[in-house]
Amino acid sequence: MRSRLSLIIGLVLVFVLLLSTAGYAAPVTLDYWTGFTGPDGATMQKLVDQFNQEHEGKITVNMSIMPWDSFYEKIVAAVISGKAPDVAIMHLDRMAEFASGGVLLPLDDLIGELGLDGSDYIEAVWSCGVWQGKRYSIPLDAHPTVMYWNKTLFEEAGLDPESPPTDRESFLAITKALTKDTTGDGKIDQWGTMFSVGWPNFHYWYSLFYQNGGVLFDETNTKSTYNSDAGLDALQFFVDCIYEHKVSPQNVQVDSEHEAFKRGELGITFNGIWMLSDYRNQPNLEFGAGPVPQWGSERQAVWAGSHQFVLPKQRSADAAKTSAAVNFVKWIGDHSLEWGFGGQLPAKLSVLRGDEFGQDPYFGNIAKMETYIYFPPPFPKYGEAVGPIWDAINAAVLGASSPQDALARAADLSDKILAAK
Amino acid sequence: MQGRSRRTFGQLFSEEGPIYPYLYLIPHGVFFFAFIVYPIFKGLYVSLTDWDMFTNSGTFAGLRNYKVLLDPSTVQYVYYWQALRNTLTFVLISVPVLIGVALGLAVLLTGKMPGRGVFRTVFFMPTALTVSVVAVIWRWLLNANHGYVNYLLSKLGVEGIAWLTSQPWAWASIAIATVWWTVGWNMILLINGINGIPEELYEASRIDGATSWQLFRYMTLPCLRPVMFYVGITTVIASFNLFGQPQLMTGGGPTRSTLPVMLHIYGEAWGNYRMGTATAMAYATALFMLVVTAIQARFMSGSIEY
Repeated sequence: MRSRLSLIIGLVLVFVLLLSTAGYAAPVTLDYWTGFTGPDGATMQKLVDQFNQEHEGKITVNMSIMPWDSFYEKIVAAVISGKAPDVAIMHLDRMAEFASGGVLLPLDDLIGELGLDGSDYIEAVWSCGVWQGKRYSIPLDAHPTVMYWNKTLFEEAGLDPESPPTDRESFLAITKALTKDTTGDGKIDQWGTMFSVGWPNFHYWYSLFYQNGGVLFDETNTKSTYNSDAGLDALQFFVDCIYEHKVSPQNVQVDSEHEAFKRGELGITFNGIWMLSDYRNQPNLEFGAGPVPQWGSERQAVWAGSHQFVLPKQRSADAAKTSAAVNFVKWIGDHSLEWGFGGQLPAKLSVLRGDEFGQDPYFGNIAKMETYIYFPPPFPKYGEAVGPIWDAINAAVLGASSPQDALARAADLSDKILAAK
Repeated sequence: MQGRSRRTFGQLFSEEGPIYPYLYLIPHGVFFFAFIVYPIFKGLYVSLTDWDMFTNSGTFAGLRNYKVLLDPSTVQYVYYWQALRNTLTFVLISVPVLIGVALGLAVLLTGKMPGRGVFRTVFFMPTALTVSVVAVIWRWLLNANHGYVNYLLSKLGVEGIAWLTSQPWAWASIAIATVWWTVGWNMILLINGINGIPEELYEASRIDGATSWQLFRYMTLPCLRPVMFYVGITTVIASFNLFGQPQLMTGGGPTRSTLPVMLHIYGEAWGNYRMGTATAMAYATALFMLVVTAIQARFMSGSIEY
């Protein structure tokens, strides 16, 4: 008797549940992973909150933030164990690693459905979301290297703070004028510029290398091509700035150029666009921000990184989640103005070229580099294969080896890396 | 019939039964097998395959990953041996200092000096810090352009040592930070060792007219041998496992010269996703450490009789 009663109750419950799900489209919950541990995390959270509000009852996005290092470790483990996030942010130069591992969803069909169009995005960051003929990522932003200059020091040196250097000659002339001994003790305590030993000096070299018309690897990515006149000239230039022209001190520890600029003791520094808000928040620092000078001889170019949306593969595909994820990606792109003001160039041209962003005294100036940001075509070993170049730049900048030796050694190592299976 | 077998079964698990003691070991046993025994053999297996992180599987490759480490045409060969040399350099620099300074402090702080409890605490305190805190402190202190150490040195007329970006200063920086951070452990162990030496031995020697140097050389040092054996082996192993200090202080630089083997293995595994060669490097290094420890044990062991 009792068992029959529980059977009836059970059946009624199942029936009610079936009815309720049939009546409404089930709300979709998306897991969203990023590495935005800085103030950029708060900016992104604000956007996510706004998205959730506008899509209440339909889509809920839960963002998890973790440091980038552990992000790239965790996402592998998550995919293997079938707990991959529905949408995530990756750096453009890491995308091919994961695409080649078969853990990312090709997005070509979805893009067509949603009407996303490459001509709406910065060309370089859009075209590099493709690996082996398939699109795996959609750009959120581009973050180029930027020149920052201290306007107060420019004025003190009798220079026009509104005309920063634009090429090799003006760069050397201006940094020479800015390098001086202000206390009169025979030691230079204010430098024209500072080239660090380590991060981010590769970005400087890369910019000049591409300006010189250089190319890192051959078309099949099996051999390095950077041990060339373009590469050597780029390396020699930074070495000469330190030892020949003496406009940068030797042995600049990573980040000490950043700190010196904030203290107002450095004329010109080069760092990512992401440093802009830090400088803006520094009291009594009058500075300008704009394009990196064209030190090279062939074309305009600048290093940049890019955050890209990817959709990790799920163990069991869920069409509703996938389309919700692409909707989310599209929505964030359309609302990326605030993201840009957090210290990025929005990848979406309608935002980037819009009045609000373009008229900002800092961002508007930086955004001029948008058309000549250069990315090499993505391939899985990119990060590993450029590793030896970082070491070569450090060795040369330290004076531990000649630029020729350093670059030749690096090219040999890169070739070994590219030759391996 | 049934009752009898149940009784024997019950006896098996009774307090006198043979299984009873092992029940206490189960909690430890579970963790021991899950986190030590299983990973050791799984790692060995991975080192014999071309493991793919993304599919979490690999096909058997025999000793190929180990052969790669012996083939000069591979990047693994170049980087691995360089990293192992770097670690050995650190072991050679740091171990004598870590033991020597600890011994000096231990002798001073077991003497009859006032406030020795305070000093023991002060010297021991840094061991409570995490490596990230230690690295941040020393990065600040040793900053070439604006660091406190160079400021003090400039008062003495020594100018601008590039502590973290040039050699041999980068190794010196890492060794100094490591000594400051970990010397307290060895000091406490040696203090206990010294306190364990019977006071009568010192008294007898003093009556025979031994100087304090002779007391140290012929009484303290030989009596400390068992403790020194332990301190020596653990310090060598700890120095082999160098990881966080260069990662956070020098980034392995300048130009990979302070990149220790453990950090390189980590990069091979998690930067390049080559679990096969990474585990092969780990086992090769473990074998190397085993040999070093065995040699050390041979030379340093031996019991001491009072």
